[in-house]
Amino acid sequence: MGRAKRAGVPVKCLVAATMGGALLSGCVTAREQEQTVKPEVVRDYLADKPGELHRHFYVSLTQGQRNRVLNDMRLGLAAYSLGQTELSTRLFDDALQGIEAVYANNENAKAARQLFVKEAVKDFKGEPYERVMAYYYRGLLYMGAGDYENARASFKGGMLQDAFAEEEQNRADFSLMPYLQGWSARCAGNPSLAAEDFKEFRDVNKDTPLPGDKDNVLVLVEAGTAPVKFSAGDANSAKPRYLKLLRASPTETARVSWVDLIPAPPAPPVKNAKKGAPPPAAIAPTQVPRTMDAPLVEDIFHQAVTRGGREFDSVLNGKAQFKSGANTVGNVALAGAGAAAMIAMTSGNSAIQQNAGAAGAALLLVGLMAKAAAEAAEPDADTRYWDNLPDRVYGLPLTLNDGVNTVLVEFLAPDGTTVRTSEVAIKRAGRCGLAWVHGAPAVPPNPRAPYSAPPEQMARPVILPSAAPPAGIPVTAVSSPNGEKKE
Amino acid sequence: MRRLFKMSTVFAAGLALTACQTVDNTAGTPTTYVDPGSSGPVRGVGIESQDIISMTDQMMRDMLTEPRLASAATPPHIIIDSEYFQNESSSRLNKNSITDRLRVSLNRSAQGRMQFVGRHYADMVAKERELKRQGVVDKATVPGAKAQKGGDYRLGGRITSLDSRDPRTGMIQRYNQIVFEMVDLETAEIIWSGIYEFAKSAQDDIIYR
Repeated sequence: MGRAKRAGVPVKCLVAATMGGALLSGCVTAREQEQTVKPEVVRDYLADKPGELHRHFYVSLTQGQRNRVLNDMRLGLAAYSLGQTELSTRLFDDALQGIEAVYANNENAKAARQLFVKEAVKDFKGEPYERVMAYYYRGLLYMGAGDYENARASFKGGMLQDAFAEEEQNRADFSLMPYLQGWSARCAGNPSLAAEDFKEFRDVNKDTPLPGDKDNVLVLVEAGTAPVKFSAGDANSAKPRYLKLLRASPTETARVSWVDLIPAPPAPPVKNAKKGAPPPAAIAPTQVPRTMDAPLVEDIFHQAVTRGGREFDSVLNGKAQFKSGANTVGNVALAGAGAAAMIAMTSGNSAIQQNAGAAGAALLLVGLMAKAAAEAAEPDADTRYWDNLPDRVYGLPLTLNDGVNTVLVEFLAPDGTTVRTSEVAIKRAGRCGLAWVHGAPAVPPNPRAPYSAPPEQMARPVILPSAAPPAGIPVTAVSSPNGEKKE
Repeated sequence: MRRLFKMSTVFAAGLALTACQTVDNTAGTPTTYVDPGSSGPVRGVGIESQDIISMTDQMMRDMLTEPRLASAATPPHIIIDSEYFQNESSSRLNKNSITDRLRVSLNRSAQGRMQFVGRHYADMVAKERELKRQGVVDKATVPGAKAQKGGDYRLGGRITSLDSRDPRTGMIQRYNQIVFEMVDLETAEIIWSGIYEFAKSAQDDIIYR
């Protein structure tokens, strides 16, 4: 009986520790789960959204506050590309509100620092390059509305997000922002401010030519696809898995063509013209085809990778150190448990057997718990990312008269072959016009942003709910991405 | 030994449960009226409602002490709108929220000592005058005027900001300066100036740095 009792303790310990380990390693917080929403709420929410984006907006509704900024940004860009400027404005305003909110004493932020919780549990604000691009698109929307002062304010606000790079030469070097600040200041009729902004641009970008004094149309070409985030390191390693980025598309350049309209000189007066005779017919302007390469203004991938280390990496490092320490403790304890078991089995003295057995059981328990804790520690970086951003932005300022309403943009492969072409409309507002084109599809093929949900949900197809909710699925109240409470 | 085992099991289960936040138990916040003159629950480093209220109140009081504006024998015609009030700061804002509040507060406090010209309504007035003169509508009750009122003085000004960030700590600081000037529309003389300035700083959580 005594022997069976002694033998039974390690079995119980093993079961308990394994269960604990399983519980710990299976942590997915409720914040990461997509929530079920009542079909009528979905229907009302989607009523004013473009059909192409219904599934995306549905996902945004189910993912809630944690991914609000991320979904706002990717859907804001998709809506902008579809010409839905009002919707896009609402989404980017909401995204910027989330970005500008200062998270101090925030419970979810606090949770993300905890040992057994992933960084990805936090509300998404994006890495600096993503935040800057949110300001960029909001600025373009202001430009489109002819509000060049707020456009400049938006670009200036974006530049501030780029001030956290580890190395000084990479701080506040997002040259697209001062370039557009200068352009906006000029369009607002403030040349002295424009000169200051272009000087700031020149300090960080020595190559791209500045707009000419008479340029009145800016062609912005976005080429390639977004930088891809991943958490670096071996999954089985105890090292911190820092955030890394990858360029996902080949380098594309852009060439812009248009037909310039050269006004004809005024017709000479007709000599000895009879009184009341009709004036000479106006001569049509001459059409002159022109082509220019668009200079690179910003390499988004370069901006993404030159940020350097994040302060939060020290927290990940702490988690990794815990993981490593707990692993070591687990290994030592398990080795000790093995040795104690060996003594218990080989010793002829029953007292030694009993003590060695008890010690072995305790060590086994400690070892398995330490291993479970090591397994549960979450030293992974948050890899959610804005997946419909471009890789590069090209800008070509032009002097065009009001008769020119479109330009043709060719996207070129590194060998010079044309990959695709787009005819782009020039939208004029106030003193200036803007022609904007996004080379890659701006509507993301996957309604979910990468890593925005637990893996099993990421793989699940997005099906809009029908009028009646599926039986057996609890319906809960959730907040819409814009903060309205929906039930 | 048995006690040790039980305690260990309870400890392990407790640890497991605290590690997993299984329920999103955010209670939510019902709609609450917030005093626009004080800092609300959502704060940033830009210009916010309490700043607009403070600055327009201060400018209004200051303007009412300027004799050429508030004690002239003939009440001057004043134009206060955002047409010449420039935003050169890094805060996106609707300038009308500042100039509208200033005009409304001043109009109510001046009690006839100043007359305000609604230049931003000039189109609306012109259309109605045209309809009256064409006889499409009657002349209403107020006697006709030769022309819309001109302005003696008009508000100009500028919003600027200076931003700084400490990349080491993630601390953000923004200095905001708002200049208000009343300009004589005949001579360009600046007959009154006011300045409102403030700085705010904040530090985001380390998870965003």
